[in-house]
Amino acid sequence: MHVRIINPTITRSWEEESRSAYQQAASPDTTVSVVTLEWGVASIESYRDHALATPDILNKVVAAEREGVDAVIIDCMGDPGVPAARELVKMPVVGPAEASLHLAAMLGYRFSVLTVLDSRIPMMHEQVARYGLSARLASVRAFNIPVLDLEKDWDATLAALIDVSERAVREDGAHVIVPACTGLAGKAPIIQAGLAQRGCEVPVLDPPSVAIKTAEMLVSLGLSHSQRTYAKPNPKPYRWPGEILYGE
Amino acid sequence: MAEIIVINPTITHEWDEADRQIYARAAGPGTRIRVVSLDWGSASIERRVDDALAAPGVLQRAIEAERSGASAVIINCMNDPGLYAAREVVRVPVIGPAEACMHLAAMLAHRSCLITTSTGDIPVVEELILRYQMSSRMAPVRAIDVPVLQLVSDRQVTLQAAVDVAELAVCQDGAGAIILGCTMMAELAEEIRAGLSQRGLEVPMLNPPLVALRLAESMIALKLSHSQRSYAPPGEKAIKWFATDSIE
Repeated sequence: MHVRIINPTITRSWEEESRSAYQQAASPDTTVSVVTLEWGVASIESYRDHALATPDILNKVVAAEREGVDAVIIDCMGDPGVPAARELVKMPVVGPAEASLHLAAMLGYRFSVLTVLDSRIPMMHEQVARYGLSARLASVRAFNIPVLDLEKDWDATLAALIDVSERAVREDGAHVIVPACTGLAGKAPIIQAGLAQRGCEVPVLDPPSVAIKTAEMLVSLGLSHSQRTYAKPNPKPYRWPGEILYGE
Repeated sequence: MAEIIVINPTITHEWDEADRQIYARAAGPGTRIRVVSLDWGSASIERRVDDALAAPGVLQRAIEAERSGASAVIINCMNDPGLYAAREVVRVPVIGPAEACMHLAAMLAHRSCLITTSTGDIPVVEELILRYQMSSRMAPVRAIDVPVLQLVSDRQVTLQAAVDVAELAVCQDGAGAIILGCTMMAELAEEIRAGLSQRGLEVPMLNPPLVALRLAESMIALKLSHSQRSYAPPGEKAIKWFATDSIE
């Protein structure tokens, strides 16, 4: 099985790290490959960033299907371009947030989502509402470290994540924690252990791992999104400055 | 080797071997399947009374499963009888096929139809949807009106009824995906899909035992289980029950 990870940014230096994070969580017979966008932004933190990233995400998804890839994962917790991409391809298109939020709802009554910046809190509320899961949301909290600064000081980043998680559990009644940045791949066990030390352990999800397991599940079950929900658009002219694979 | 215990929540022991084969055929190479049925309960699960009688035995079997070193438990029925109660008494993941299918279906279609066996079961399933807070993602529940005990004996009748009802769900209710709401009906999944396809309708068809199995395997791989905050272990108290030592 070949799963393509689409890094929906133009930051090519993340490729190897994200390939190894996904490969680690994948089954032994799953191949993981990563591509980065030609057009877009350095990180995804706003509706503007989503708008600029989505057109080339669609290109990369269509290209993946033509190559014979079995499923794609859009490597961002904003799930940018996921519904639009499903209109263009038949293979599964997995959004790490969509997959993680549904799993969180099966693990506990209410979950909290940790987002990077205060400015992303309304976006995350809106995203949870779009998935119909608002009733299961305890809170969205920000740890206020921009995506491009996450790796500057991992100790500080993890300390901030554990602090915010503890407050989500104690003050907001969170029973499950979803860290909402795929740049935090592999850090969930550290956050969960930090919570345990403070006497408030709850499951902490690792969205890239959840996404790859969801992709493997869908491929092995022969399932993909419904063509009734994501009907193929009629052929029509498109104008776009770069290459476009999904036109007439 | 991870062992998954499939609880057939009925007293119909004759189903155990057929169930075992369904699960074992689909299980990954690292998974062993064991099916157990109940000492007390009903011959099949269709109503709230059946759920009520099944739940104590489901708890007993879940506790036995955990004590025997099993890695996960699946309750093999689309009413998910005893699901939340079982999570209070064990730490291993407890999977309800209905809960699993509703969340997976929500990743495949804007809304989905769960097809159940009898009209009388419709309110029971709709209560389950409300409980899981998935109403916004589910089309009305429909029934094929073939009693569970006849589902297997009258194969052709079941198949015809299921295809007719699925067509109504897609064309009249706008369902984008179909959940086969009885683990017995799921055996006909491929034929139902083909029957619908002959009528020009291609929608994802969720086969609950397989979805439950893949979710259980994913949870084991991700080392995740339900939150103790949502499913807190009950406090010590006197219990009087036919098999007290196996339910504490």
